[in-house]
Amino acid sequence: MQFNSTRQAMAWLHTWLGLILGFVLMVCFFFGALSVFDREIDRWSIPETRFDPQPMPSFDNMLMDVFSRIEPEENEYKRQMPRYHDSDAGPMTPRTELPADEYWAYTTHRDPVLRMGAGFRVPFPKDPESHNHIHGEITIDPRSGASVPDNHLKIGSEWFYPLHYSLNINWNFLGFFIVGIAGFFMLVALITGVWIHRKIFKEFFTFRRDKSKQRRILDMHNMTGVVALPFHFFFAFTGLIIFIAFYYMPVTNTMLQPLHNMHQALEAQQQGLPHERSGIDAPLGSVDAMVTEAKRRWASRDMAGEVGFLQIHHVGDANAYVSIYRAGSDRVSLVGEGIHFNGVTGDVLREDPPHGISESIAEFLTGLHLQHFEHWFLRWLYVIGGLLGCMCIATGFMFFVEKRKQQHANAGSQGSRIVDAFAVTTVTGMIVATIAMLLANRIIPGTTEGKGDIEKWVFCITWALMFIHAVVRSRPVASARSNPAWAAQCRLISVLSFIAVLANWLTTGDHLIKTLITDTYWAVAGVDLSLIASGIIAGVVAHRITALKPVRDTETGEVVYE
Amino acid sequence: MTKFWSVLGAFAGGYIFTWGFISLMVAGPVYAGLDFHSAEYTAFLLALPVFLLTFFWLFISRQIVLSHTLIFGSGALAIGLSLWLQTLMLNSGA
Amino acid sequence: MSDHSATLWLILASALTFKAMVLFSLSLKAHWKQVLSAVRNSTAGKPHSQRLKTCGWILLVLSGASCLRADHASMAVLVWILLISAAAFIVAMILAYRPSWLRLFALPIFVRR
Repeated sequence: MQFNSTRQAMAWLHTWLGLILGFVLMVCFFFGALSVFDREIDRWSIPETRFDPQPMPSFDNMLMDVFSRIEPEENEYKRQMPRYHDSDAGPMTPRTELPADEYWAYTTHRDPVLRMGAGFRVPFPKDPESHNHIHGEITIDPRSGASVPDNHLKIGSEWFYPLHYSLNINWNFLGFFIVGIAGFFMLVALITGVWIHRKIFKEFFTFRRDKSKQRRILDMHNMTGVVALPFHFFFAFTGLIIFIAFYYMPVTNTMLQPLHNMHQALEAQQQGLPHERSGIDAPLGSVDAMVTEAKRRWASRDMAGEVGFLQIHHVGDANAYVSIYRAGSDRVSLVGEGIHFNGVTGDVLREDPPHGISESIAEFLTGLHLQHFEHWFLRWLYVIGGLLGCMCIATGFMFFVEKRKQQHANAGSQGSRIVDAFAVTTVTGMIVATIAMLLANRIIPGTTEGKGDIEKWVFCITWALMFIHAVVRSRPVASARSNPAWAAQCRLISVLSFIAVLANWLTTGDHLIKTLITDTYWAVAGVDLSLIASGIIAGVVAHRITALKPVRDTETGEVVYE
Repeated sequence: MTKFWSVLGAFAGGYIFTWGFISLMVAGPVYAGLDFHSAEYTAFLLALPVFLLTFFWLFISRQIVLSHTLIFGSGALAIGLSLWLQTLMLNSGA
Repeated sequence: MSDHSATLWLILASALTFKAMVLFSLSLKAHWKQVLSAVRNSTAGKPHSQRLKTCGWILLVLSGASCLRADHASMAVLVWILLISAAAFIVAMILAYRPSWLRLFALPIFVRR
C-alpha cells in the first residue's frame, strides 16, 4: 500500500472513485428518483392514457384476442434468431410465424394501461434445453383493447427508468455493467466517507452558511450524505442485489448452470408444473374462472387482493399451465402468493407455499427498491432521498473543484476546469436535457412517425450541447474563478420548465386548475407541479449565483464576481 | 498511477473471491442436501458484503503479493471445489 | 385501516419526528447557541444535553409507533427511517437560515443550570 495510513487510503478511495463514478451515479440517482413516478410521467407524455387505473379486464373476452395480435420484436428477431436456430435441422421460421410459447400480463395500481407480452419459441433450436425465447410486447387501453401506438414513447417507464440501471447502453449489456461497477463503488464511497468524516453525530445538522465557499460546500456534502445514509446505502445495496444473479455475477447461469438445470427439472417434477411442452395441441380453458378461484383462495387465507401478474406457460399445448400472482401493493415484498392452474382443465396444480427465510429477505430487499406498493407518502420520501443523494454527489464534485482550483491555477493545470465542466454537464446539463425531452414530447405531433425516437435524440443532443456549453464557458475555472455555465444552465432549466407546463396546457387542455381542482388527475398535476417547483428553485439558484459580490482581481485589476 | 492499479487488483481479487464464495455456498449446501434456491439466495445476499470486505482488505494490505496470492488462490480453490462437487452431483443424479 | 386514519397517524409521525430532530439538534451546544443567540436580548446559557436527547428518543419511539399504526410493519419501518432523514434535513436548513424559528423548542427545562 502506498499510503501513510488507513485513513489516507480511505480518503483517496473516496475522492477519486467518488469523482470518476460520481458522474455515472448522478444519472442513477436522478433518474432513479424520477423513476419513482415513472408511470405518472408516462401519463404526461402520452395524453391518450390519462385515465384512471382499471381492474384487469376479462381474459377470455378481451386479453386472449390481444395476445394473438402480439408479434416478435423485429430487432430481437434479427439478433437472436441466428443464435437460437439450428440451420441444419430445418428452415428458419419467419418472424410473424413463430409460435407463441408464453403469455404474460402485468398491471399495477398506478397504471391505467395494461402491459402484455409474449415469448415466442424457436422451432429447430440449437440447444433445446435452453430458454430460446424471442419476445414481443404490447400496451393496451383495458377499457377497449385498443393498443397504445408504438411511436408513443413512455418517457418515464421506457426511458428514464432504464436509464438509471443501464444508461440505455444496451450493446452487450455494457450499460448494466457500468452501473453495476458504479453501484459497487457507491458503497465503497459511503463506507470510506463515513470513515473519514469522523464527526457523524456532532455535525449531523451542520450547514455553516456564513463560512467560506469550500466549507459551505463540504458541510452540505457531509450533511446530505449522513442524514440520508440508510437510504443511500440501501438503495445501492438493493439495486446491486436485484441484478447480481443475472448480470454481475451469474454463477448459477454459467459455471453452475448444469446444477441449476438439474434442480429446475427436479423442482418442476415436485411442484407438478410441467417443465416441457408435450407436443400435443390443446385449447386453453377459461382463465377468468381461474382468476376468480385464485382470488377466492387468497381471500380465504386472509390476504384478499387483485391480480398483479398473470403468466401462461406452454401456450396451445396439453401441458399448458397458468400462473396467477397477487399484486403486492399493501406490503414491501414483491408480488407473491402464486397459484398455478392446469391450463386446459382449470384445476389447481399448486399453491406456492410461503418462502424460506433467505428468499423472503431477498424479496423484501428487492421490493424495497422496486416499490410496487401503494403508499404515496413513502414514494415522495423516496424522491426526497434520491434528490438528497444527487445533492451529495453534486456537492462532492464542487468540493473537489473548490479545494484544488487555486493550486491548479497557480500550476497552470486544467484539471479543475475539466472536472468542473463535467460537473456542470451531469448536474444542470442533465436536468436541461430531461426537460427539453418533455417539451419536445409536447411539441412533436402525435401522429409523427418515430416520435419516440425523435424525443430520445432531443434528450441526447441537448445533453451534448450542454456539455459543449459547459466546456466552452469553463475558462475562468483555470484561473480559480467560477464557471458561468452553472448560472446560465440554471436559468435555462427555469425557462424550459415553465414553457413545458405551458405546452402541456396548450396541447392537451390539461392545465393545473383542471388537474388539481375541477377534474383532478394527480399524475399530470404532479408532473406539472414538479416542473414549476424545479423552475422556481433553478431560478432562485441562478439569481443567488449571479448576485455574488464583485471583487477586484488583484492581478489583472478587473472586477470579477465571487 | 500505481494507486489505480491497486484499485484494479483489489476489485479483481474481490470479484474472483466472491465468485468462488458464491459457487461454494451453492454447491456445498446443495451437495449436503439443502434446497437449491435457498442456497442460491443466501449466497447472493452474502456476496456483496464479502466482496466489499475483500476489496478493502486487499486495498489496504501492506503485503501486496501475499494478500493477492491468498485471495486469488482461495477464489480459484473455491471455484475448483464447487465444480468438482457439481460433477459429483451430476454423475450421481443423471 | 382506513385511508384517512392512516393519513392522520402519518401526520402525527411527521410532527413527532420533526420535534425529535429539533431536540437532538438543540442538545448540541453549537446549535443551542445558534437558536438562542438569534433571539434578541437572551443569553444562550447551556443546553441540558441529557434531557434533550432523552426526550428526543422518546419522541422518536412514539413516531415509530405512530408509523406502525398507519401501515403494515415492513412499510412502517421504511417510512420511519426516511422521515428521520427528511426531518433532519429540514431542521438543518432551518438552523442555517432561520434559527430563531426553533426558539420555542428551547424550553426552560432544557437549560442547564
